[in-house]
Amino acid sequence: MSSTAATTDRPRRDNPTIERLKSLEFWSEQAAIIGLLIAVVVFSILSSTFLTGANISDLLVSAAILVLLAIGQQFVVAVAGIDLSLGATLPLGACVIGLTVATHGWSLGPGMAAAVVVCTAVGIVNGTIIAKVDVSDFIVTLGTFGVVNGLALISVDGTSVAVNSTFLQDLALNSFLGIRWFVWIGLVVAVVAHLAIFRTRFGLGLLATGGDRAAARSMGIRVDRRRIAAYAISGALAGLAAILLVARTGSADPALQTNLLLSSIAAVVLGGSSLFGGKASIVGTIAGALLLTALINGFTLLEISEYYQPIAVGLVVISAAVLSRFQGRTG
Amino acid sequence: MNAHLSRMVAAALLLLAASTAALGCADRDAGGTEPGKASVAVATRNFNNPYWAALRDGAVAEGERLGLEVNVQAGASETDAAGENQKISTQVIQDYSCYAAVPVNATNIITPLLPASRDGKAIINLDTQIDLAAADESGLGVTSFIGSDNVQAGEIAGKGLLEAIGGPGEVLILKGIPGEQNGINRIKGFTEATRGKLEIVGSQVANYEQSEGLNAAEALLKANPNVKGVFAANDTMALGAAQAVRNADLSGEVKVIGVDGIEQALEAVKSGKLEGTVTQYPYVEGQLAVQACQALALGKKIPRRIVSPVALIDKSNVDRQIKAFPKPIIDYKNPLTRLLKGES
Repeated sequence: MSSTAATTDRPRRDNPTIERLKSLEFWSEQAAIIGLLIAVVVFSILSSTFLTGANISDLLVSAAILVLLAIGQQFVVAVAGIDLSLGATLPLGACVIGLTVATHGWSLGPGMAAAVVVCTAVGIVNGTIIAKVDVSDFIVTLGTFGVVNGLALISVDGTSVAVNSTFLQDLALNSFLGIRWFVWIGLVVAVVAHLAIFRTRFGLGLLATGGDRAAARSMGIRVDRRRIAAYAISGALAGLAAILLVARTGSADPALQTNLLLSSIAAVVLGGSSLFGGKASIVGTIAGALLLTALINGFTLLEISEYYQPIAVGLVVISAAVLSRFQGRTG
Repeated sequence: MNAHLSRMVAAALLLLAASTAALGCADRDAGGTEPGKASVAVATRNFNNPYWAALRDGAVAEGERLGLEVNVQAGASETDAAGENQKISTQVIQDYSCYAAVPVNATNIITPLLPASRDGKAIINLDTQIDLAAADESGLGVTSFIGSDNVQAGEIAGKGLLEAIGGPGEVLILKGIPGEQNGINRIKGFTEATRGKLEIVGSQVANYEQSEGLNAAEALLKANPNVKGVFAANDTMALGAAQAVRNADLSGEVKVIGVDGIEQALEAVKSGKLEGTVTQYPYVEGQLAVQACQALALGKKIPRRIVSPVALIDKSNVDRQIKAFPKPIIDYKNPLTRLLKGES
């Protein structure tokens, strides 16, 4: 221990690890992981089922759709934006599969590709209007939410379409090397996203764009392209999530309403990213998504009333947001 | 300062953990099912709709009566297929002997229930029929369907409205969510029961929403001044239509009838705003689900289709129904009673 700085009017400095634990910034950045650990400990004490392989596997599968959406949201948040249209893009992607495969008899591959293409297009439209016309991301994506929602309803005439496919069913239920396919998909996307953000020029450009757009522009980064790309990635991942959704529900339902949009934003916030951009953490975002899913899973196992679940989720998100107020203030 | 705050945060987190622990929740050990005693997992769309809340209450009450374990879970909204599926897949991990579920659409519950079906667990389809072709194709074995006959509900409503109008006349129809099978069947029953007697001069989709029912009925009433009655495919739309009738100063001249028998509708029947409602008994559906699971646990064979009762509630019997709510005021033939009696 080096105690060179120890003086009489100051408390003795502990080792760096403990010092780090005392800083609020650490807590706020690791909120999701810490929350997840607490949830795991508490739920495994209270429920003998929670920590079984079968349940953990189910939890990860249940989280996969949210993980994909949250990673997409993470890209947008990294450039200081927000994508509210995700809540409608997801069912639109599902409807594209329903329309092409179930109604028009396409084979599944092209149908799934079409879903990803259409959802990516939604993202490109969002990004282009936001970056080129410089309209508020909040307004634009709220608007496209409505438009996309209507398109989904029109595409399948307002009714849910059954998509019967053994391939999709196997995708939803089966495993590869002992790990469920959904988990593999989430894992691969997460690794690629992490590398793209932190190990490429593209990713550094994204973060620079989100951090200080004017500075990024003066450094020669094409900020408009970076912003459009972020929304396109968000759309594409919503398309991929739509494939998983169709696999899990066996149908394309244009009226689908879920908490997934809000949860995707919550997961990013829990993960320690700043909504003001310039900061990203794929690991944190995934931990956030897992925490939100684990809360629902644990509450279901413990048969805690449905009514308490949104309260718990809300409180966790607010706690994370409160912690994030202290980000960057410690020295 | 920061150290102080972080200590507070840590303390708060510990407190949160401790208080969660103190809730002392009933946990279920996976894999423990007594022979001859069903353990029942029920899943429905949400609990915000009083209809599904009544189904839950019926299942829980019946579980208590028979001394069986019953776990009821739900998604967040009428169309939250992803949320409901997550609840079902968690229930399947918990290894119940019998799974009863209300689908959001024709197929959503098939995939999450497949692992249970492959394990030989009983699967019961509640309230809204799933796509049986899709279920067969995926290998989901559905033991039984429990729900009311919506065509019959529509017929009863048709006859009730015909009687209230007291002869031939023009009527309007408010439809539910497009493609939703229960609504389609109700309208089919209504149309068949009133063919040649009541003339449907206008019909519009109002998505089972009260405000949409109000708007649609207002517009249709303006366009069709000779209308004598309105049939709404559910009670919330009927309540909207009743409001439109009062707004147009046509109370007493235009009779409104709905389907479901929710509490608000019963109150409206009592006060005369609604002519009547064809009540279904989701509470009974919940009871029947638990009884069916128990009959299966006893090794009995249960019918492929168990019809839960419906009844027309009008001024003459509304007081009795409000008092009995959510239990039925009519006698109905329960094919499971006999099977369960064999137990002693």
